[in-house]
Amino acid sequence: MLTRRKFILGMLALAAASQLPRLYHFIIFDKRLELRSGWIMMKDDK
Amino acid sequence: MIFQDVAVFNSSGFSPQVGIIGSGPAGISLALHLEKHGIPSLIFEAGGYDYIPSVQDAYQGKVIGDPYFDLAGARLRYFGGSSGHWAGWCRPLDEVDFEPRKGFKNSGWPIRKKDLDPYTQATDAILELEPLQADVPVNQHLREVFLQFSPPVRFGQKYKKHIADSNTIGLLMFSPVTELVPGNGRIDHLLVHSSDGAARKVTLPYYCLCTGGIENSRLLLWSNLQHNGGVVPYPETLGKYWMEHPIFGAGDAIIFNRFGMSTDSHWGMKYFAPTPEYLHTHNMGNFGLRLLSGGPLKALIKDGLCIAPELFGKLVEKSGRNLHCATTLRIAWEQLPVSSNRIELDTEKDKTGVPRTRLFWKKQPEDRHTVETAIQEFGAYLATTDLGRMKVVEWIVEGRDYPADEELAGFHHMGGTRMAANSAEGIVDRDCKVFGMDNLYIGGSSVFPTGGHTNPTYSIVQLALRLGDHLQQKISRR
Repeated sequence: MLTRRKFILGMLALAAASQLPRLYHFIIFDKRLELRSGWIMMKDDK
Repeated sequence: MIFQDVAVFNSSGFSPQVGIIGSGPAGISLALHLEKHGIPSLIFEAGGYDYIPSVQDAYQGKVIGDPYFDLAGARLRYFGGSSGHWAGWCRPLDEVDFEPRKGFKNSGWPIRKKDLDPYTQATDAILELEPLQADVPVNQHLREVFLQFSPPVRFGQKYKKHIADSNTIGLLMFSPVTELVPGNGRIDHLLVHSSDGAARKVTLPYYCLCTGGIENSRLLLWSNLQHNGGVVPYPETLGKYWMEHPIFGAGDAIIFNRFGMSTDSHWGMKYFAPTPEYLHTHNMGNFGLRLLSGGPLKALIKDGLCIAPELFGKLVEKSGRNLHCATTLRIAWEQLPVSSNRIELDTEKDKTGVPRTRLFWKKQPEDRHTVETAIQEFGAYLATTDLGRMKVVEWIVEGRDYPADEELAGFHHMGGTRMAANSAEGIVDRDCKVFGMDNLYIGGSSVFPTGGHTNPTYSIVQLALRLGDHLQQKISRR
């Protein structure tokens, strides 16, 4: 039976799932580099 | 010789050895090569010399999956086929494209690059190309590669007179083949839809299907359905492992010293690809990264000043002295061949009675791995050598889905009748012969088991010429 609690939990789960892509990030593997606002930069770039 | 319909051909006394279904780059290249060997062939063209909407209608189909082009406009159904609208970009497949790659499922051809290399000179001549410039190593991971540019050759225009005057090439106009009819492990005859709606029978010793990367599968699926599997006896992979070259913007970059970027080179372009060693160790598809000059320099510097004022401040000081430039980056890559990307028959039929196409096409997580690895590798190359800095497109940085309002793909239809070492893994063998059939061959990119990163026309012509040699040997042994 659909309770109020189950309904709210369900809606929260749906909302979280829709944000999943946002939790994913383009990962930089080279330790000398980092991602800054979308730029692939050297860590010591000033 | 040109025949306006089957009845004229049947009463002509012309006795071709090979029936070539389709008059695109594969079909015409094959016919020309057979002519050199003195082997008469007959080309079946579904349309006329120009675009006719009612003929083109046969290419209408449905796409299920990722955003893709309207299938009705993705290929041309008239003499010369899709060479009537191609851009002319050429490059042979790399050696690594033929090799099985650990970590890239279903890769590996039953032939190698050396099997197609003997056809380089002839292919260059047909496509009117300058010889390919050798790759330039960049580092252990990347190399600069080059394209060849055809004018582009329109096969219909270039070869119409030659074929009309030929005594060994026949061209049957307005003659769509609607069915391949088997008998005793061979194709016995073809059915051709004539203008009065009747199905006319044409019987020849050998048949080569060269109708394109979707149509080859469609006609075989339909013929096989009509004849209880008698046309493709081992149909496990028929229509499957269909591929494209996805193409998307990858970002922009500021190049600090121009490093050879020139607006007077061909379209101001530089082109990078991975080394074979890199591909073998990174479980990914091949890729081509294009740098196009003319990126948004001022906007990039302004953006860069916010994240690294010192570095980008130096660029402001040098501005106006032509010491740096902006480039836009685009990437085309090799899709993982998977059986779920496939061609099926629709319930709706075209005017000739052949079911329309249903194309299932979806990029895989492995494709995303390829594009992200490629972009990261190039960004790292620019930064670590201090040649420049790259800004990656937002949808990649933020992990969003591919944008729908993009280039999407290269109109390169590959797979569906893949070449393999055995009938469980493909439809044709190393000679492009359909497994289990004595006289049925396939030309064109539908035989590609993997697609590499480059435009397929060059390899299509090479394969057609090689098929011509194989048929010559087979026919001379009879």
